[in-house]
Amino acid sequence: MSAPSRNFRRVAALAAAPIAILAAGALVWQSSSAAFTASTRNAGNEWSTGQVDLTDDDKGMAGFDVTNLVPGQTGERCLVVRSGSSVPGEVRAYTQNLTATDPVLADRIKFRVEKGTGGTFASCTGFVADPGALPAASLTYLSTANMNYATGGGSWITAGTPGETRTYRGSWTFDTTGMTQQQIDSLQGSTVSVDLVWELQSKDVATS
Amino acid sequence: VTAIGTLTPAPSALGSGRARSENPDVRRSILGRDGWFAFVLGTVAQTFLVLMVALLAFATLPLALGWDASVVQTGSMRPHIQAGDVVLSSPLPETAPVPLGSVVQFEAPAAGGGEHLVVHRIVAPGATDGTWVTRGDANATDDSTAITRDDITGQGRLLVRWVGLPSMWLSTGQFGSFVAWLLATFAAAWLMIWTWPRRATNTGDEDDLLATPGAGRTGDGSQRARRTMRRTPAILLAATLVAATVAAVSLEHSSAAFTARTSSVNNAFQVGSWSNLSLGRASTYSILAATRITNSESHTTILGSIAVAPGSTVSGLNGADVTGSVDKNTLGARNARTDAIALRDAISVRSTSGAAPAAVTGRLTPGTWRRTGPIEVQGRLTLDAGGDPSAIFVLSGSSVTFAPGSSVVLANGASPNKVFFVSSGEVVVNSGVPVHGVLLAQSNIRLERDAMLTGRAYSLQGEVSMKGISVVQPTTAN
Repeated sequence: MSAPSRNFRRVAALAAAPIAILAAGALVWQSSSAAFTASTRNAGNEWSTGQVDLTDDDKGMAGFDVTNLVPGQTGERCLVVRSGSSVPGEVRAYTQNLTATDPVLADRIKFRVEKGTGGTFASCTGFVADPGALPAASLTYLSTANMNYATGGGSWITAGTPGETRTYRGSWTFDTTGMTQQQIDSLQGSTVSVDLVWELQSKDVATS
Repeated sequence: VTAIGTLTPAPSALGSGRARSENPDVRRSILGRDGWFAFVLGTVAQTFLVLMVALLAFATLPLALGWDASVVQTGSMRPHIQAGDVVLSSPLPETAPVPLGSVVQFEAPAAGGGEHLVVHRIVAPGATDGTWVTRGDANATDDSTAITRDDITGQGRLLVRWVGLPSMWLSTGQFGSFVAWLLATFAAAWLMIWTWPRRATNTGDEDDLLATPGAGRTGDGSQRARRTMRRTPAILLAATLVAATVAAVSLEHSSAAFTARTSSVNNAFQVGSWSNLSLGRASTYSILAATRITNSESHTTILGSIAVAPGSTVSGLNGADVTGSVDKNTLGARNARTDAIALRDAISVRSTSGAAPAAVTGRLTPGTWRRTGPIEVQGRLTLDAGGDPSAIFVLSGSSVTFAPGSSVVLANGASPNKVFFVSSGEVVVNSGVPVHGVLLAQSNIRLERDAMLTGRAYSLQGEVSMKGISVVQPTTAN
C-alpha cells in the first residue's frame, strides 16, 4: 500500500472547498424550505413528547360558579397547577375574557390570587401562602392590569423538573361598601364571568 | 477536538517497535505526514472550515439586502428550527398580505416588561379583525397574545443551521461548549496547513505524525518558506472565522419560547335577587290589625287610614280621631294584609348583616340585624343611613320592646319607610316613646300612653291596642 499521490491530494484539497460550499448551500436550502415554505405546522407533533405542558386539578370545572350572591359574601378556591415541563421557565397567572352584564358588578367583585403550597381544588385546607401576594383588586382592574403573560402575576419560576406543582388560591368578596341600597338593588340578577389563565413560558436559554 | 483525541494515542499504539520492524513503508504510507490518515484528517478539517465559512456567509450576506438576522434561542419551532440556528427574515412589504401559515418574526410582550423578538408561525386569524394567532410548531397551545401586522418585523426566508451556536453558548454562559468549538476550529486550521499537499520528500520518519510542523527538521528552506506562505492565510482564515462567529453575539436574539397554558374558565358570579321591601297596598294604612283595633284614651290622633282584616272590630275611636278611612274587613283591608304578609316574608329571606344584641342602643348602620330572642330598644337609637335615602334597616327578634325613656331617631337621610322593626311575637312601645319606622308584629302591638309613632303599625295575626297616642304616616314617596 502506498501513500496517496501528491496529485490526488491536490485534487482532493482543491475539490473539498467547493463541495463544502455546495453542502452548506444545500443545507441552507433544505432547512429553509422545510421551515419557511411549508404553510402549516409540521405533522411531527413534537410537543406531544411533553417538552412543556401545564395542567391543573379542576377537571374542567369552573373554579367559581357562585349564584345568589349577596352583599358582603366571600369565598375561596384553590387550584393546583402542575408543570410537566422539562425546560426551566416561568408560570404567570392572568385574567381573560371578562364579561359582565353590569360593569358595576365587575367593580364590586374584589379578587385576590395568592401562590403557595398545599390544598386542592376540593378544599383549601392546608394551603400556605407565599409572602408577597398583591392585595385584592376588582375584576375590572385585574382585567386591564393582569391581562396577558407579560403583565401576569403570581410568578412561579419552574426549574424544569417535570411534576413541579404550586397551589394558587383565589379569594373573592362581593364588596358593596359605599354603595347606596338603591345601587345595590340594581345589581340584582347581574352576572360577571372571567377566565383565569396560568401560562408557562420557557426561559430564553439554551437547554441542550 | 475529536480528531486530536484519537490522534494522540494512535502513534503510541501503532508506532511501536513491532509495527516499525514489520514494514516501515506501509507504516509511513498510512501514518506519515503524506499518508492516508493525515490526508483524511486534513480533508475533514478543510471541509469543516469551509463549511463554517460558507454558512457564515449565507447568514450575513443577506443583511446587505436589508434582511434581518437573529439567533434563535429556544426550540419551540423544532424540529425545523433548533436553538442556535440563525433565521434570516425579509421585511414584509406594506402591500403584501399577512402570510398565514408562514413563520414570521415579531415583537411580543416580554415577561417583566418590554418586548422581545419571537419566531413563530401564524396559524390562524385572530378573534378580532387585524389580529393573528401565532404558535410555535413544538407548542401544544397557541401564543396567548395575538399579534397585529405592525408587530411583524419580517417573514422567515433563510434558515442557517448552527452558525449562532457559538454566540449562544457565549451569551448563555456555556463556556465549555464554546471553548471546545474554539479549539476544534484552530485545530482544524492547524491540520489543514500541516497536511496541505507538498512536494515529495525523502526525509523518512521525521515527517511522522509526532513531528512538530515547522520545527525546522524537515525540508529545505524554500519549501519551508512556501509552507509559511500557505500557513498565514489559513491562520487568518481561522481567526476571521472565530471573530465573525463570535461577533454574531451582537445579532439580535429571537425567542422561540416553549409555552403552555392551563385555565379555569367561566368563573361566574351571579348576584341573587331580593325583594325591595315594598309596603304594597298596605301603604295607605297607618294601623293594620288582624283581629281588632282598640283605643282606651280619648286623645289619640291618627293621620291616615286604619284597617282590620279578617276581623272587623274597631273600638274606642270616634270618627274625628282618624283622618282617613276605617276599613273593617273590606277588600282594601284584606289586600293590605296580604301585602303586609308578603313584606314579612320578603324580610325573612333577606341575608343577615349581623347579630342584633338583646339591648339595642346607640348608632345602627343599614342592614338586616337579627336575634332569635327578644330585643329591647334602650335609650337613644340612631339609625344612620350615611347619606343613602334608600338604605334599609331591619331589626328583627322574637319580640321588640321600646323601653320607657327610649327613642328612635333617623339620621343622614334614613327614611321611616325603610325602617322595619320585625317581631315574631309582640311589639310594645312604652309611654311617651317616639318611634320612626314600620312596626311589623306577628302577634299583638301595644302602643302605650303618648307614644309617638312616625310610621306604621301592622299586626299580622293579633290586635293593635292604643292609649291616647299619635300616629303620623310618612309619605310613601320613597
